[in-house]
Amino acid sequence: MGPRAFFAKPDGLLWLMMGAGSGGWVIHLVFLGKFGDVAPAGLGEIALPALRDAGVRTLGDLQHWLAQHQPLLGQAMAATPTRLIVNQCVAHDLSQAIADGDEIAFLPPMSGG
Amino acid sequence: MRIRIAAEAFDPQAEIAAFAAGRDDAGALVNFVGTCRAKTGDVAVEELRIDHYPGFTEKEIARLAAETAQHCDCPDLLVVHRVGVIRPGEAIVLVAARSIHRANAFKAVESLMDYLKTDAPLWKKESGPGGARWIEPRPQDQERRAKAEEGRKMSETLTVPGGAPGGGRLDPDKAFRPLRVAVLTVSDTRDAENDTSGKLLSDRVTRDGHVLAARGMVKDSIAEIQAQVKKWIADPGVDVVISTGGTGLTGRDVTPEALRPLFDKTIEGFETVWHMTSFQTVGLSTMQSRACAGLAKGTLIFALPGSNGACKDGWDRLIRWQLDSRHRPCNLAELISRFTEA
Repeated sequence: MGPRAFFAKPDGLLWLMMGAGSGGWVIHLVFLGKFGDVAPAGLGEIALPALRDAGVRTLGDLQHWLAQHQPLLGQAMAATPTRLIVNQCVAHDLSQAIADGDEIAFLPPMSGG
Repeated sequence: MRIRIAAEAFDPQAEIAAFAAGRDDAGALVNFVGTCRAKTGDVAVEELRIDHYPGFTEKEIARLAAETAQHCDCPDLLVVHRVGVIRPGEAIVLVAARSIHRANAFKAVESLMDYLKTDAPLWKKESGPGGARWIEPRPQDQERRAKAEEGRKMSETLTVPGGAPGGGRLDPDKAFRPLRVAVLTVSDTRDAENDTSGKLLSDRVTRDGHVLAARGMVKDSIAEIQAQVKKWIADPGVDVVISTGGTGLTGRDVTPEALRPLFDKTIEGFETVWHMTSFQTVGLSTMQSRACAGLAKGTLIFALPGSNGACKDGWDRLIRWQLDSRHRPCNLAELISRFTEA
C-alpha cells in the first residue's frame, strides 16, 4: 500500500485517505457520532483483498465482520438503528456489493436543530 | 434556497438581514433560532459538539429544505447550521422563510425544523461537569416529525406546488374556453354591501378568465333559491351556477334541500374531494359542511358554504380546475356540451 495521510478533523470525524498514486484496493470507512467514539483509529481504511478473503462481499457481510472484529463497535451498532451511506448515497439494501474505493459511512440516529 | 454549514459562531441577525436584502415581493419573513442551553434540567452544559458528515450533511439538508419548499409552497428558505464546538448562548441553527403572506412561511419554518431534528445528518454531544453524552431525538421530536410527515402525505395527494390538486396540470396545447358563470349568495343577513363570499367568487370567476353571467342574492328559503336557480338553468347564457351559503346543519340552512330536487345527476365525487380539501383547512369541522354539486338540464351547479375561506378552497382548489378546459387528466368544462346528449 502507498503512503497514507492520517488526520482527525476538528469535528471529530476520523478520516484516513490514500496518498496520491497509491492505487491500493481499499474501502474507506467513516464512523459518525457515537460510533466514532468506539471505532479504533486504524479502521478508517481497509484493504479489500483481506476483506474478500474473509468472505466479505456485501454491506451486510461488512457489518457482520465489523461486529466480530470490533465488539465495542458491534455492540454500539446493535444497540441503535444504524444507517449505511455508500459514496454519499443512502444504502437501502444490505446485499449491496462492496466495490474498490467505496466510502462507507455508519450513521447512528441523527440529532439536528 | 440557501444552505450553509457554519464551522464558526454566526450572527443570526446578520444572516437574516442578508437573506432579506434586496427583495420587496414578499410580505412575510419568519425565522427560528435554536441556541445552546446553559443547562439541561439541573445539569450544567459546558459545551455542545456537533459532528457532521461533510458533503452528505449539506446534501441532505438541501433535500429536506427542497421538500419543505414544495410542500409548504414556500421556495424562499434559509438554513444555517453550526457544527463544531458550541458554547452556551451561541446559535445552533437558524431557519428562515420568506413568502408573500405569512401562513406559508410559518408552516415552512416549523415543518423544516421538525424534519431537521430527526433527519439532518448531525450528531450532538453535550459535555458538562458529569461527563459527555450523545443526544438523540426525544420522543416528542419523533412525534412532531411523524405528524409533519402525515400532513405532507395528506397534502401530497391533493396539491402540487403552484398547480392543480392531485397532480393535475394545465395542458398548454389545449385551448381555454371561458364559461358563463352565475353566482348566487344565499343568506338571511347579508346585503349587497357585505356580501363578501359572493364578491370573492365573482372576482375569482373573472380573474380566472370566465364570464360573470349574473349575480344574485336570495334569503335562506327553498322557494327563493329554486326560483332563482331554475331561471339560470333555463337561461342558455348560463353554463355554471355557484351558490354560497346555506350548506350547514342549522335549521335555516336549506340550500342542498333546494338544489338537490333540481339535479338530474348528483356529482357525489365533488363532496368527497371537497371534504378531503376542506379537512386540510378546518379539520373535522368539514363534517358540518353539506357542500354539494350536480347537473340540471346541462347546467353545472355547485353549492359552497357561506364562509370566505370555504369559497376560496372550493374555487381555488377544486372548481377552478374542473372549469378549466386545459386541465388534465380531465375536467368538467370539456363535458359541458355532452351533458345533454341523448
